[in-house]
Amino acid sequence: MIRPLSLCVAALAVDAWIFWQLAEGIFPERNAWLFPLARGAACLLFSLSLPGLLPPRFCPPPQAFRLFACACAFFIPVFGMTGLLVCVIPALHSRRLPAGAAGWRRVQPPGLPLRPARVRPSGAIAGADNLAGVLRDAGDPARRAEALIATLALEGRHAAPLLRLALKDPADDVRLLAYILLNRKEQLIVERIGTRMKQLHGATRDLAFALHKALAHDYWELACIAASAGSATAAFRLSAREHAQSGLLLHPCDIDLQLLCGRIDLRDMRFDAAGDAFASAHRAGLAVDKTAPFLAEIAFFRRCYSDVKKHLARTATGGRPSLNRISAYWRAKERVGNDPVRH
Amino acid sequence: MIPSDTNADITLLLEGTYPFVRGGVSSWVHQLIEGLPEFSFTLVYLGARPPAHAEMRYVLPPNVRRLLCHYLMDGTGFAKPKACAGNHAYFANSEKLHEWFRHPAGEPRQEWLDQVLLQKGQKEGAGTTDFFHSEAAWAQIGASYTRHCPEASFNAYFWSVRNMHAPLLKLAGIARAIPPSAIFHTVTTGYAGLLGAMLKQLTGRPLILTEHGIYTKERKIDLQSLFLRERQGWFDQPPEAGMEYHEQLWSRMFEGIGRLVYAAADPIITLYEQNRQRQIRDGADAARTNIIPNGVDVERYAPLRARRPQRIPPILGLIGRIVPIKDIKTFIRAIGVLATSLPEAEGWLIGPEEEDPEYVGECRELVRSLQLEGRIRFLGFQKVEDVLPKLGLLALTSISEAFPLVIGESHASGLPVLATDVGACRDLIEGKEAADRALGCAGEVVPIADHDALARAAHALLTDPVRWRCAQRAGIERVERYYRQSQVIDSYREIYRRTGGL
Repeated sequence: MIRPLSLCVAALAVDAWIFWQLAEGIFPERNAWLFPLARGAACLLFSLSLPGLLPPRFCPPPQAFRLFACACAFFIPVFGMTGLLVCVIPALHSRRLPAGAAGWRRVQPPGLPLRPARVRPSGAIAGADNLAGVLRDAGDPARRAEALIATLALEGRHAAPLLRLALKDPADDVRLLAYILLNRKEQLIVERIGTRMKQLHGATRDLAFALHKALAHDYWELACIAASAGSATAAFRLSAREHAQSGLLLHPCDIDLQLLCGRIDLRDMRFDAAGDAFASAHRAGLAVDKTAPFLAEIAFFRRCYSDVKKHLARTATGGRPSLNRISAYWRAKERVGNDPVRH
Repeated sequence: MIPSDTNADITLLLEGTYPFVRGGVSSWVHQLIEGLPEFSFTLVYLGARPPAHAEMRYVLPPNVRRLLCHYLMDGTGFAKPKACAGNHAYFANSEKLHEWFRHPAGEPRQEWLDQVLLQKGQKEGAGTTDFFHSEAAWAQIGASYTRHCPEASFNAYFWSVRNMHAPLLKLAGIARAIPPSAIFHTVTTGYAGLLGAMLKQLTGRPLILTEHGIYTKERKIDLQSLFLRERQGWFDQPPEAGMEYHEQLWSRMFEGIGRLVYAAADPIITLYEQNRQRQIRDGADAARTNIIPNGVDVERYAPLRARRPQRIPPILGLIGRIVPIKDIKTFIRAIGVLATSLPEAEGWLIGPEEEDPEYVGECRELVRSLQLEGRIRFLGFQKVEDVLPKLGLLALTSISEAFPLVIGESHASGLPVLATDVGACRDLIEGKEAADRALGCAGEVVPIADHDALARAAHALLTDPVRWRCAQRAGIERVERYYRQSQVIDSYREIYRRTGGL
């Protein structure tokens, strides 16, 4: 409490000092650029420290609160910070809760997932794993529906398998919600594609490259999240490849597009083409650990199991639990000296 | 309104359906009235607001004595508000009823219904004025807000509470204006069901409930979809329950009304077992629940079998509204896949397009993007009898269904069916009990949202005339043996006689 308060007061002091300098005409004209920079820093410091002063029931605060605090501080010089610090924070602390709500409050055991909507992309994979468990095992359809709502906080590629899983749910409500969410994700991408395709006509070389690159990624994302897997996703991958290749014609050394081409080829089981694309990406400067999981996959399909271990050893697995599990499995098999495929 | 001097035997309470809107429930109501010419009917239609051009979609049978239309969201017509203390006893009872909605235990007390919903013992409209303008109402809303959702927006909460209660208070006036009849029969819970519960309370006459889909579930899905459509922004992270508190209030209100209606109705009828289980979970007494499946007028559809061409037409038809719940996009994609192996394949979308123009636009865009303009036809509403003989298969890709009448009609006309595994579709295609299953499959059940599986199943049936004929025969036998409309009509005749002494 003391630390955020002192940081907020410090930010307020800096803001007040800057305006005092301006008001007195002391601020050196030569270093005018320092003014917005110092103000920006003060506002940023203030907005990052202020949530620490909130009452415990607002913790963690929504992201929008920080933005709100920053905007108030920036657009209402001095008074914005003062108002938030002197009026809003004390008001939130002094707000009376209803009788029985203050002090100890008896609460029901929390349902699953515990805090679904708080799952943020930083914890996307772990979040997706948790939600998959809820979708599979929670007996109450309302809990499963909550898990679906929580997928809104995940990236499309993590959310889509969960939503497809929920399409087979025995409860109509859950199935329909999954369908609506999946359709919503697809529709957003389809609209984006439509807009970019229109811009593509008559675009300059640089803009055309940017658009082809964006379209390749859009189609790839669509292939990953499509409501129904199967032939439609193959069509999306084909479009993704076409745009990626058009982009590479304009900028042959683009690492990102080479990597994407490799991933598309790998999904289509075109291992030679995928290997070539990954090799081109390496030559253009892509780090080895970025392609190692894909090379391991190619080696697995080609039954070159010793290469699988070699490639997996080069992967950067931090924060990717599923890849960690696979690496651990192969390491374990190596230790016991067994052929993993036989087990 | 169709005037009449005499009271009817049965009052049917209808919400947003017959005779102004086409659909499965409306067709069912029409068949029921036509099938029971010995009984007279009063129809009470509940809508939101009076439409600019109310066009009847059905010709009312001669045994309909009256059609009364009421619009619940139509202006409340208040006089200028005056400060008043309000009836504290009324709000005390109202609080108890709300508490029962939150924690339902046992049956609701009669006095709650009498005093809160029907506003008995109060001057006409006094309860409404009290609710909207009294200090007692303000105190109750404020107290309820502080107790249940002090962190939510009071503005949103206050206006939600007012908007939710306006139609409920209006229903009391409507209930008093409805002429007496031997039986009240509602086709949903919701507002129509609540009106039925009020009428039972006022007149002591029995209330019958027939639920096709589960109203509370459908409203919740509607509310959630609307909420998610509105929440597309970067700052709009949805709350854990998927809706804001004031939006959940609406959903809970319909659940509470559902429980009141289940408590008042006997018998409680639905179309298939899964829905019966859902009714029990939602508060219906298992002993009062019954299943009466939909029935088909076989004689009406049997002549269509002769109009069918010798060669199986490579045309898949989807008969239904163009709305997301029918998953039209999977049908469109399936036609695209089917066309790669059966180049002359076509898909016809037969059904009204007014309900969700945005989704219709998305479907048309999908047709364009898949370059299927020459294969997919949007035919709008058509007479089923004109279309069925031209199709080679009926496809139903719905994410949710109850007991789709169109499958029975398709069976009766000799058309095999492909449908997703929802509602009673599997029972209708593969049979329910052993003897029924022995008749064989009248088509194929496919997974939800799997266009490849649908295309595979369609290809297998369309290119194998022997299998197609077997499916046709199984469908005809199944519908003639188990799903005749006359069986449904007989069941309701017996229920009307037993419960209403008709």
